[in-house]
Amino acid sequence: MTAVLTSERVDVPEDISDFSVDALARGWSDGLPVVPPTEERVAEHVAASGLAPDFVLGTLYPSGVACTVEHLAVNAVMAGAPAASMKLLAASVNALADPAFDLAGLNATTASVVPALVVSGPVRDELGLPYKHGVLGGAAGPAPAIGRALRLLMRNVAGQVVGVTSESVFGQPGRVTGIVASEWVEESPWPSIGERRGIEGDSVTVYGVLGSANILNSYGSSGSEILQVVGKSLCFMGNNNMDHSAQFAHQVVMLNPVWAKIVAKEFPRIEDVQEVLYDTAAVHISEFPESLHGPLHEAADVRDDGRVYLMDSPADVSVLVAGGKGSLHGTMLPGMSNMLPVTRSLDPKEWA
Amino acid sequence: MLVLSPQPHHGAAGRPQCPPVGALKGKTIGLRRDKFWLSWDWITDEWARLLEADGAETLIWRAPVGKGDQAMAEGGEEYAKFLSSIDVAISGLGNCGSCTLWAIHDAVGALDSGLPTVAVTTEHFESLGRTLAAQRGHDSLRVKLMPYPLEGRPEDEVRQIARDNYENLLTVMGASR
Repeated sequence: MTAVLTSERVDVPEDISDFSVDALARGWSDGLPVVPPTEERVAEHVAASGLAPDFVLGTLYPSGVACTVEHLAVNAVMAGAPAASMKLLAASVNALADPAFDLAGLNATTASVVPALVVSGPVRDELGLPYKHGVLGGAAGPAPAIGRALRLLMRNVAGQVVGVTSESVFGQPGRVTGIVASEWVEESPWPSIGERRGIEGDSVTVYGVLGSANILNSYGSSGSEILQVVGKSLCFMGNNNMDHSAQFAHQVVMLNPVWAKIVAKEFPRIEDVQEVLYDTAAVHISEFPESLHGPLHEAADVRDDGRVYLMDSPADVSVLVAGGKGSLHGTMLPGMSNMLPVTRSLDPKEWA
Repeated sequence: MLVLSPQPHHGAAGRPQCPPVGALKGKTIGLRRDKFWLSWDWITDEWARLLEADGAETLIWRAPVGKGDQAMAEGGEEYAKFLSSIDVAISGLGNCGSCTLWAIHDAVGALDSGLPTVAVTTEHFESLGRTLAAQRGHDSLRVKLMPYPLEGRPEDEVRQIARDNYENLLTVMGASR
């Protein structure tokens, strides 16, 4: 049976270059070329989701629109995302709409935050998602188009428009093609992120991150040394969660496979790795400008040992294994304050 | 060539005009704070004192930041309880992206509860605040503007700004002594 699609039909130029110009003028596009979302293409994407076109994936803010599979499919077609990615995209939208993620704050904030997707399970290879060299950018494949589908959805359905409903002062490159990554779980001494968060098989975890920054350590020879450099890199004074106004945030750390093996030799349990990072990612109050001492004390951010901790607890950091085996580098994705990661199975039947 | 629009029609239905406050005497004015801006604490301190001098009672509520779905739900219940104990809501401070969103969100919640409501934003965030309110169908939300920036000014100066803006606050609220 052919699904009934209810979106408004719009007459546009047939030539794809002309359509891209037209789409930008209509406020539909980010300025990159877009694929015309014809009924046939959109229907194919809807079918690939396994869901009805009017199935509501969640309410997206600031617009407050109940986002349907059809809305998602139209934007996924425009972004060039393959139909096979629709289950991943649908689960991602459902996760983004979870109140704990605070999409409303993300889309309006002055900060540069963007949702980052970490995909666990066999779907990684089925879709060809990156997890080795260039996991966060540069590896050829569908990840940029999949990420861009969500970015267009934020613009066209959630109503995030720069300078109108989005006050992001600088934005970031991830706000164009998103951040879509996976794990090199075969090289990881620890279970996948999805498994650690209670989901076997295919899952996606969405994080609100402020970008990615490289962590170089060319001489670390022990797990403790590597984690010391990572932990101290995380707690830079401008990290959102070092500010007195922030209540909590979740950090993401990617270790390359070589570092992961060195770290696991000393810390076989992932909980112990998190504990070390929690304890290392702290700055003594005396290092902060004096004018901040009062607000930090008032916010109860200064602990008994006189230090301001980046995290509330060791559980506030996700450590995963990805990247090339050239070693030397880790990566951190600092978390946006007052947002929690949310994980969803790619099977909608498992959604709450 | 026909294509499907990527933008759904999502214009919220227009809501009624925001009612004026009327006489202050005997009314309980609720002042909504959050955990972002010390300047807003000082301003609401000053306004509460002046409102009480004009015969109103005041109640201050600080919006919690819930960690997780359950904590957020509890925060919502707490806000509903706050709204049920006041006659007028003043919701602020819109002074950044996310805090403007939440200040407007709570202002719309108060309006939808039938309370005369004023949202407060700094001048830079007026457009965002009005856009967000309009998306929820409240084009006519009363918005009291404050100078921008407020941060970085000494406490005495901010408190003076609050006092200087009190008469205009009453005008925006549609309040009378």
